[in-house]
Amino acid sequence: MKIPKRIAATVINSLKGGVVPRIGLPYITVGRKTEIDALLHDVEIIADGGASFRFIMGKYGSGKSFLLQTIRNYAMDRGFIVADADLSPERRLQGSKGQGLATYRELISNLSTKTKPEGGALTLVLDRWINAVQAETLQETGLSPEDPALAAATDRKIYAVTASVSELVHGFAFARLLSAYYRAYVDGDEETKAKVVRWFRAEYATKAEAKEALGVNVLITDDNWYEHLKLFAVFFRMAGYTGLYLMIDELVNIYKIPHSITRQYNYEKLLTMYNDTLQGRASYLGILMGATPQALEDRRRGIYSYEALRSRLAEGRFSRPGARDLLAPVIRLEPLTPEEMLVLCEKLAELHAGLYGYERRVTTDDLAAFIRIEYGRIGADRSITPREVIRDFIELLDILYRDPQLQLAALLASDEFSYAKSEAVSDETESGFVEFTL
Amino acid sequence: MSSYNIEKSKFYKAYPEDTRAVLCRVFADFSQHHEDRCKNSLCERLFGKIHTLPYTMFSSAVVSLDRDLPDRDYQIFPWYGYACRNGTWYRTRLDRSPAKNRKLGELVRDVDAILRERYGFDAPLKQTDKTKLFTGIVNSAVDAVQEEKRRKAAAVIHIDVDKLNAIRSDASATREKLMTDEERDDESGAEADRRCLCAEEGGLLTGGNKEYRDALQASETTIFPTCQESVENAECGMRNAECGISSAAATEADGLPLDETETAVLRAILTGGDCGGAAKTGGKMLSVVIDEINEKLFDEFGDTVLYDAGDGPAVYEDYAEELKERIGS
Repeated sequence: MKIPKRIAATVINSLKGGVVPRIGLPYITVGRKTEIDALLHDVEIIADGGASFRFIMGKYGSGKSFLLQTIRNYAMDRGFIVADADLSPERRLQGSKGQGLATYRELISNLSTKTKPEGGALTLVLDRWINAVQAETLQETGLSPEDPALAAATDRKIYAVTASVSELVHGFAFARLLSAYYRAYVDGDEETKAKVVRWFRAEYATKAEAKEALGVNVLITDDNWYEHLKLFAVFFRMAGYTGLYLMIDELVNIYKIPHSITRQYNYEKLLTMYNDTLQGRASYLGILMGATPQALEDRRRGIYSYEALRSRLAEGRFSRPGARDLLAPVIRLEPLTPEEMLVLCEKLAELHAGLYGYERRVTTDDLAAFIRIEYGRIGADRSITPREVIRDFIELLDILYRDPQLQLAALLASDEFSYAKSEAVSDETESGFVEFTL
Repeated sequence: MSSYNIEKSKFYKAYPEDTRAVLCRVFADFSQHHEDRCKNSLCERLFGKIHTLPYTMFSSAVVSLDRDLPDRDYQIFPWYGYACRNGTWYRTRLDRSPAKNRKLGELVRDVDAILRERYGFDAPLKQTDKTKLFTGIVNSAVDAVQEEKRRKAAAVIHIDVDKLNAIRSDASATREKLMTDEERDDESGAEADRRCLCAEEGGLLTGGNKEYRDALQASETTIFPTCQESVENAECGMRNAECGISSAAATEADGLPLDETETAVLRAILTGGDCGGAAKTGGKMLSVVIDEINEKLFDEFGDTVLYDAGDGPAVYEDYAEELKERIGS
């Protein structure tokens, strides 16, 4: 299989830096077949007008972000708009100081499409929507662009779209603002366009401010931000996209909230989102959340401390490692087996050889020896992550490439090979601390 | 020596190695604690001190023993023996018999009880009063033994090479499912397919994604033209071409798969002209045209070629020369 150099370079350089590459993920995806199949099935459901809600549960470094990024790229390629946000002490699902709204703002500012994968695609989507309506009106009516009747025909078409949105919860104001955006475009009023975008980004602090700027006395708030995301999902579909996919990571930040009542409010919000998607009250919307086992399963502070969620999400009696129900809302990421890690290293060796234009010299036996050493480290069974193994392996490949005379077996046994170390534990000593007197 | 026979314990029968290892560690640690902190050692506490006292050999004998005996020693056990000095016999022994030692038996039983609790064993023993110190020592010993077991298990890694082919083939199947259009085109080296000129993007109606196009045609979305209609329009060209509305056919002269409006806008950006005006002439918004240009040229350049420089769109320097050559500006 010939892998393009551009993709190989991005993958190798990103992995060396310990980050998930933006492209080329299909070339290094090993294992996780059933998990990915389950998520791809979700994508089909959403494209057909449904909704999905999944938790991806795994320890730090188990591959949650990798899986999220893989699905993100796939979804964007399928025409979805993707928005992602990491929760933090300042960004939650609900909060008395606007922490829920902060999450919404983060999601909206990170709206991404295939050609704008870095985010900030809201304005583009609005512009493309209007353009598409105009093109369609032109095509249907056969009028010329200067014909005054064209504007009226376009207005009617815009109204048809906004009318269907206005029937949804909070849709009336949403529809009014879409119309305002369109009118501002027609009139060349960039200022009003900017104001509308500000409203969609929830940047107005008070209703009075919004009323003065746009003539609407409703705001996106900490209580209703999720309802507005549902509206966006429907609107994006009308604008020609497949739907909206939300990816929210670091759910452990809700687990860390010290006040139990505040945690409850957040879990209630989570329950609302979960119920909506699974009971058909949301359309063209997918939600993926990343959480550690503790954040999910801890019965005192985790999601399972909220009984309504626990009873919906907990595994059944028959589920066990190796025989999990992947149609269930929680996808548990098991650590990659040594065999899977070996195949992953094999793919990296191919990528490296293709990138630098040499014949791959590392054999399966060499890879097996490497994996045995990596997994044989003290504590590896509990704490080894793909990130560490990959960084070690790419370092080896670089060394072998620099010196073709070296053999992998000799290198593994030599002092040149050192494990990727956590910076929290270092063997280096400062000379000032070698000896001291109290 | 213990009055509690550990070998008859159910837990010992289930976990003989662990029990043995924990008992040895507990004894060693407890002994060390006594050495460091107590007046008497653990052995002295359990078995008493070793005393050497005069002893009458064969005290019930009716004959008198020769008193002119050489000095000699008879060591039966390390803690039990006889010695003769200057015709007088002495016996060395412990205060308490080491056999069936009750205190040692209690210690062993307590260890057994704690082990059963730690391992969740089905048949727990009735708890007795134990000091915190002792419980701490036993728990530390259990932790150490379990850690040692984990280390030994981790050091032996088995790789089942029979599974590798199945993993490789699953990975290939997953790769095929996940490949994006961009990655597929890169791999095959094919040129980017013609795209519909309706304002869809993100691969929804891109020519390279036939499965998706078919799905959309089957969908009930009616607000906008279906892909099929848009493709037909693209084939025939938009009406009112004299007003500058772009034809669907790519402008072959510049070798770039862009329509007239997109070419005009790109040329304006490259030459510092009025790109906004060029977009307006084509009846489109500038931001939309920029996005369409980026999408159409993404596969050729592997990257977006235009970006927002703050005061208007600009071309990335890396691609400027090539674009100028190809667009003929």
